[in-house]
Amino acid sequence: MSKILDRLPILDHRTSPRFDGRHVTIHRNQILVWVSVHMAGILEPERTITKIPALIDMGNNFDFSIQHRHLREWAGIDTSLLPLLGDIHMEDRRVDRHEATVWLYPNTPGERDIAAGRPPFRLRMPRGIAVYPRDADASAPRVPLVGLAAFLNNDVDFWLDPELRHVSAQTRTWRRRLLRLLTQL
Amino acid sequence: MTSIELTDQQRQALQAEQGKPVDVVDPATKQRYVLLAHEQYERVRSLLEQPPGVGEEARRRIGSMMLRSMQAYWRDLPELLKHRSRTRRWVAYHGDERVAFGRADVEVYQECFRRGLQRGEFYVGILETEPEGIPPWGTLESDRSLYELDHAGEREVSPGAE
Repeated sequence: MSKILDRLPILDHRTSPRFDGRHVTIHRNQILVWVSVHMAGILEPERTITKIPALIDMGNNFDFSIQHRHLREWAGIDTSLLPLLGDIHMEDRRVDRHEATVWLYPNTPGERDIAAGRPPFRLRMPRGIAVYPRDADASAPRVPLVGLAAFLNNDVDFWLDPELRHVSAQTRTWRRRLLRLLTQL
Repeated sequence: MTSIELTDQQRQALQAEQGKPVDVVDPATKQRYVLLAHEQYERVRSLLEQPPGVGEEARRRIGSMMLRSMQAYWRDLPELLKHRSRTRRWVAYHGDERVAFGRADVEVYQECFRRGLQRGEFYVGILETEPEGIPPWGTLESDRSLYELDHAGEREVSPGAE
């Protein structure tokens, strides 16, 4: 697979996309993606697995963060199924890291919908996912976050077109390696 | 850090242990110390410099076999890095036993499952240098992110109109 996000639009107005009988508010200038969370080591997710909304947050230095409640109610996974790996120290609180896999779904080119018939891209999570506790306060992300580390750790090129207001992301191909080499000459 | 020179006895002991730490006892006070290579010390230095208790709470709650597997991986990582290749990017440990190498983490997980190992009983680690020397069970540092600006009076567009 090469392209994961193909001209994914960044809207200039607030929306409330629906999923699994729920809806979530996405503010303007937020990058909405669809993911599913699974136990680590699974070759591919079930077709019926719930896809949940997440935001790409380049200000976040971790791979993936989610509230305990969202993991359970949206993704349908209890943390007891995800072995504990360690924790994160964040502004005087601790957030546990659990072993898991996150799947990122390609979008329909130029739209925010999930592309039909295209397999998701597995984001390896070498340090696990951050799960905010049950008593999470305002410091917990309102929507699950895909952080900068997810792109770095998975060798995914990411670029923004500010004029057309869309982002794209793809795995490295030999063409991009060649382009990079040529620009260094 | 103060620097002193090894005695002949200490050098011979280190050579005999082939890179493993050496237990050293002060005969005057009976206080025990550990003599280890600088490279190994650098890997655990962040733990020693962290305030007491940081990481301890999480470590206590990690399953014992998982923790043991992580520790084995961490201990062997410097040596494993020397053997990294296209087919050896990930490794799994079940306690002190190295189970498998693989090109992808999922490959290694599948091998562990094939051997009947349960989740939480093994650790799958990547063969990469940890730049800050934080072990897998350690505490990472992060900041709160996702600062949202809710524009007052903003008109919402219905999903169908996207």
